[in-house]
Amino acid sequence: MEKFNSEIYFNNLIFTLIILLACFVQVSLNFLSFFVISQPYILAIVLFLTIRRLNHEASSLLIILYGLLYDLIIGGLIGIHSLFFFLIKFFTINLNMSNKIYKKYGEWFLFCFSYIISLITIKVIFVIVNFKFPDIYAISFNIGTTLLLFPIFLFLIDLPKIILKIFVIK
Amino acid sequence: MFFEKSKLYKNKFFNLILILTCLILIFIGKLDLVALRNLSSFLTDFLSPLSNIVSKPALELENVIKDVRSATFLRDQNIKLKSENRRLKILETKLANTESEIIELKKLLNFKIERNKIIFTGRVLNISGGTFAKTMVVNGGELNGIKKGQPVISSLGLVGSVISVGPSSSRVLLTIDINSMIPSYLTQSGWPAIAQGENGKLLKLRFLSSEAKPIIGEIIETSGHGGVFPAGLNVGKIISKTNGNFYVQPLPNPQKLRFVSILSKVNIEKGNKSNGFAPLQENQNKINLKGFNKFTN
Repeated sequence: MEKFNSEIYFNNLIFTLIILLACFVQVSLNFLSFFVISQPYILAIVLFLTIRRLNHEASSLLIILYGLLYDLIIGGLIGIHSLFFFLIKFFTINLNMSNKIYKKYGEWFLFCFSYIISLITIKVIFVIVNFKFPDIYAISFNIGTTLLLFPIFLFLIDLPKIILKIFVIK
Repeated sequence: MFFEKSKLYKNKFFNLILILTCLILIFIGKLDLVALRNLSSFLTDFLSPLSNIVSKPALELENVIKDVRSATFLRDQNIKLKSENRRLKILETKLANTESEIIELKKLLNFKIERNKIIFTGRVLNISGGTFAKTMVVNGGELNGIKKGQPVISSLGLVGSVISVGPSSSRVLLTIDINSMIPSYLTQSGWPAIAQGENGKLLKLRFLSSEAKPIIGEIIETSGHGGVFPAGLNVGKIISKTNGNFYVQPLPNPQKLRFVSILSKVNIEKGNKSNGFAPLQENQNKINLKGFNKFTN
């Protein structure tokens, strides 16, 4: 039991460090001029992959806290990222595609679903709260770049495994 | 169909509570509480050195991209700059004459001249450019005399206004943020309008008179209405018209900003001499009659 608890704590610690680093990387992306209109949500990709790859389920309360922290760091509307991150986690865990679709498209399709549904939900809340319509072009640019970056992230994560496989086979 | 029933209903109640908590947080955030603002300022202040370090690779990468781009177009750029320089020199002489005339006329009419004083020039620590908020952090705060609501400019024009101040850093709401509204006027046709951010790249012109006929390429400046922003600061230029709406491209590109200045308004009419940078030469206390003064001195 103690071993199990320490494993959960260790997982959450790793999760915390990864998310905090991703928060700062996300903020630093704004200096890059090729993301002219809007920046891709690297944080959403990292969150999705961490939830999927960690042995134990990441704590929802921690996710809400990190969202809150991120909102405070970027000076945005408080709570909006808490809900966004929580929805990503919720859909990542609960949206279980039928095996056929999952086998055909894999993780990318699952990410598309959870990311787009979460973002649209959040945007609707954002519009209700602010009584203003944000730039649709910026949102679509954000969705497009995020979805394009996801396979690159997947490849980078799997790269050590691929290299190891090649060496082991040889 | 897509959901695993057992998993979904197991934590249904807990998930609902968490979603409600998030919604309450959004509501509290919208109330704009002083405590939350102070917490945000403290966190910005505390985390800005770390954020600065993490931003370094992105900044370096951007510099490399910029260098490669400029090297590729060096020859074309040189030709373009030479012709622009020639054009600017002609404009400069014209402007100098017009400016002195304006000053003379203002003095004759006993017009209250407002001068903007730069109270701080600092480095941009980070820019938050997601789809929800467009803000930036500057490395100066209360200790440098910065206060909430002060306008922020770059060499090209208006960047935004200070929304929260910490001891050594402050957060600036960019003009492109959805919550930013700038009272402006069209410099050629003279019509007033409100330039509103959309969390995108452009500003939308709102409350523009139906009689107004803005021209593509027309410069927009702050009108000074409401007293938040001083009059005459460059906001941007009209670049497109879609569905009857005019869109303005802000002149300072937030992503390229490295240094910004924070302004405070100083009324020089009340005997306060401006200590800061004065782009307009102050005339002597006499009526300047063109062509005659030289002979009288």
